Amino acid sequence: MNGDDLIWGNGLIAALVSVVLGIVGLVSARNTTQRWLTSGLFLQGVLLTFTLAGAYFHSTATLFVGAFAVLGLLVVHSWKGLEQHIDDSADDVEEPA
Amino acid sequence: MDEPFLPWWVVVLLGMWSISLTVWQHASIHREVRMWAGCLSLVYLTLIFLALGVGLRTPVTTPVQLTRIPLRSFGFGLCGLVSLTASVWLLGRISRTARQLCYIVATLANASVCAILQVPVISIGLLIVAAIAAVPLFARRESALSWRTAWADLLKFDEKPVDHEASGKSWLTGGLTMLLVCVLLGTTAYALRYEVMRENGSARKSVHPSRSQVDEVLFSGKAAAGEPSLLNYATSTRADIVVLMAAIVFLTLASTGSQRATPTMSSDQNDDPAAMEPVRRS
Repeated sequence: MNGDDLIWGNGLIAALVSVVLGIVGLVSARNTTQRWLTSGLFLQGVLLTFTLAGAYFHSTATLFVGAFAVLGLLVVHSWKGLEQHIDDSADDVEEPA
Repeated sequence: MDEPFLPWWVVVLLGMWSISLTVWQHASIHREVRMWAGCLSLVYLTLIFLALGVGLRTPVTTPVQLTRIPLRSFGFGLCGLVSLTASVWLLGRISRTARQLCYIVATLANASVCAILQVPVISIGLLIVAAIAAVPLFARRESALSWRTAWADLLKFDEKPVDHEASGKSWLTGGLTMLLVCVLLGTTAYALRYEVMRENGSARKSVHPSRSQVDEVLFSGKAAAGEPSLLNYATSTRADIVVLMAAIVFLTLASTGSQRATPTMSSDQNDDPAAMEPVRRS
């Protein structure tokens, strides 16, 4: 295992941690904006997992099929949720100093 | 190859990271405590990756020289750390604008990671996602939103507990976090260990070609054999058991925390302002 593999391996674990953070954020989300952002975070984690898995295992099939499918899903998810979240004002929290 | 194992202090780091992340997300905990817990979770996260990256079992005879780290690795680590930092910060009780800023920063960092990986199409796609996520910020600029305000919002916390937190169930989120971390890390550890054992020619050989064979085909005989790295030691046969034991310990701690949190939460449900005063004072 060379140095690059070590780095990609760590990156793979980091991507999985990002997936976990997305799921945790999705569970504790309180409105649609938070759900939008955390589900985007989750999808980005999945995307990075595919990409880094492709780099780590030297598998172009995994890279192209998985990563591009998730990327398309992420762009559609961002675009579809855009109008809804401009109008959402439920998360404008003000905290007393 | 001697049987490696996951050191106990890595499991402790994993548990401490989950606990601090839970405290960071909890609404009824004091603001300063939450902020320090959020910072601590980042420190634990960094330590975990340093432990996996620098090495677990090899004695460090020479100090790590930062100038000798390749620029590519340094950039990769920096972008990954920025991405995880922004993701952790996004999960806190911060304002909506600050959340969107964190999301944009995390997306840009992930785009940089993909650029370093030399996958420009995915990097450009993530830049498009970041641009889309930035549209609501610019759309609300007419409502007296300035970057200075947005920066100040990064440290504003919402202290109103929601229903499932008021009932003390949010500790279950901490348990779920730990469980997910253990399952995902355990699965990754298993996958990496399987790969390493196949590379080493162990009895777990599968029908797939080994890494060295694939490298021979791809790189014309320049097989990347090398010495077994320290990541191998982190992904061992005992790792799954130790990680599962850590999950059990953490769930026990989480149930204890739930019992302690219940009286405070019941006072929230009664809407007693006197009982809420110590919690909301900052």
